[in-house]
Amino acid sequence: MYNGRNGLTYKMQEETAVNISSLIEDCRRNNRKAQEMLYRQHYAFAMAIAMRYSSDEHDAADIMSHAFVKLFKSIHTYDAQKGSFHSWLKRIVINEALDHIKARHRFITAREMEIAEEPSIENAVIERMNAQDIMTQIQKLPPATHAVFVLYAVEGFNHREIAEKLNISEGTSKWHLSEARKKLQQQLQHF
Amino acid sequence: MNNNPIYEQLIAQKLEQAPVPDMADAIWARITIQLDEDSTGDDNNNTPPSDPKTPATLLLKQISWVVLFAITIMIITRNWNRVKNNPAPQPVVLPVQTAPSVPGPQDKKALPVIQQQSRSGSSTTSPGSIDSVHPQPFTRLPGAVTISNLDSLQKTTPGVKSPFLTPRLTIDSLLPPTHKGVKGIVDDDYRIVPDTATKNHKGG
Repeated sequence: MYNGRNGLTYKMQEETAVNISSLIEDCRRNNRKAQEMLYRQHYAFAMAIAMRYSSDEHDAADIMSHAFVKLFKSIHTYDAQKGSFHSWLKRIVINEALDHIKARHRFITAREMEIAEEPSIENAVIERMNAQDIMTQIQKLPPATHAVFVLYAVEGFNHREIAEKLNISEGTSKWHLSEARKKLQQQLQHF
Repeated sequence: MNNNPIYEQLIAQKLEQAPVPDMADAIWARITIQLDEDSTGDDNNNTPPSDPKTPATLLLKQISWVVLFAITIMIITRNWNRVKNNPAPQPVVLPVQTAPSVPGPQDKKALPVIQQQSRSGSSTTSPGSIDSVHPQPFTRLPGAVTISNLDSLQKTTPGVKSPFLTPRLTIDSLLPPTHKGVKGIVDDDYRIVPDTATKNHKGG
C-alpha cells in the first residue's frame, strides 16, 4: 500500500492501472514510494534492454541501477508531450549501457569497412533456438561487436547513428557488424 | 529501418521474449542507497552560509579584534623592555684602511710613497703608481691605520684588540694531556743508580 502526496492509493496488484503521470509527479517530489512503484512497474521492460547489451545479469544490474538513478534525478526534465515514458526510459537505459561498454571496453578504430559482409545463417536454426539460447550466443560476442550488432539488428539504428552514439566511424561500425555476423555464424553451426 | 536479413529479424523477435532475471529487489536496494547518498550530499550543499551580520558573528569579530590588539601590544612592550635593558652596542667605526696587509708586487712601489707620506704628515698623496690606478687624489683620515703607525698604535692602545685577530688556541685546550714514555713506568725507573753490588765486587 502506498499513500501518495495527493492522497492517491496505489496497490502493487494494480500497477497497470496506476496513472503514470501521477506517479511521475510524485517522483518529482522525491517520494520514495512512488519511485519504487515506477521502478517495479518498468523493471521487466528495462531489464530486458539492459540484458541485451550486457555480458551477464550482474552487468545488467549495474546498468539498471545507474539508469534508474539518472532517471529519478532527471525526471523533472521529462516532457510527456515529446514522447512516451517508455521511449524516454528506453533511451536512458540504452545510453547507460553504451556508457558502461565504452568505459570498460575499447572499440577497434583501425579497421574500417565500406560494406558490412552478410554471411548466411539459416532461419531454421534461429527458429529452433529458444530466446535464452540466442541471448547467450549474443552475449558471447566481444562487447563492442555485441553492442553494434544489437544497435543495428535489434534496435534498428543505422551505421551513422551507431557511429554517433559510440564515437566511432561508420566504417568501424560496419566492421563490427560483419564481425558479429561471422562469429554468430560460427557459433550457430553447433545448433 | 535497416533491411536486415530474415535471421536477424528472427533474432530480434526472440530477444524481445527473453526472460529477465529476478533481481528487482537487489537492484532497488542499490538505487535507494545511491539516491540517499545523493540527497544527503544535496542537503549538505544546500545549507546556507552563515550570515556575516548576525549578532554572534559580530561578537566573534569584535573578540578577535580585541585579542589581536592585545597580542600586538604585548609584543611591542616586550620588545621595548628588551631594548631598554640591553642597549644596543655602539657601532665601532673603523677607520678607512687603504693599505693591504700584504702588498702585492705592484704595490711594492707604492709602499715607500705611503711611508713617506706618513713621515711627512701630509694628508694628500703625491702622484705615484697608486695614482695610476686611482687617478683621483684621496684624503687620508686622521688616525688611519697604516703599516708605519700600526706598531705604535698597538703600543698606545694595549687594551684594544683587533676584531680580526683571533686568540691563539693552545694545544692544551684542544687535546688531552699526553703521557710520555711507557705507561706504568715513572721517571724514577730511568734514574741511574750506582750499583753497590758491582762496586763492592770491583772493589773486592
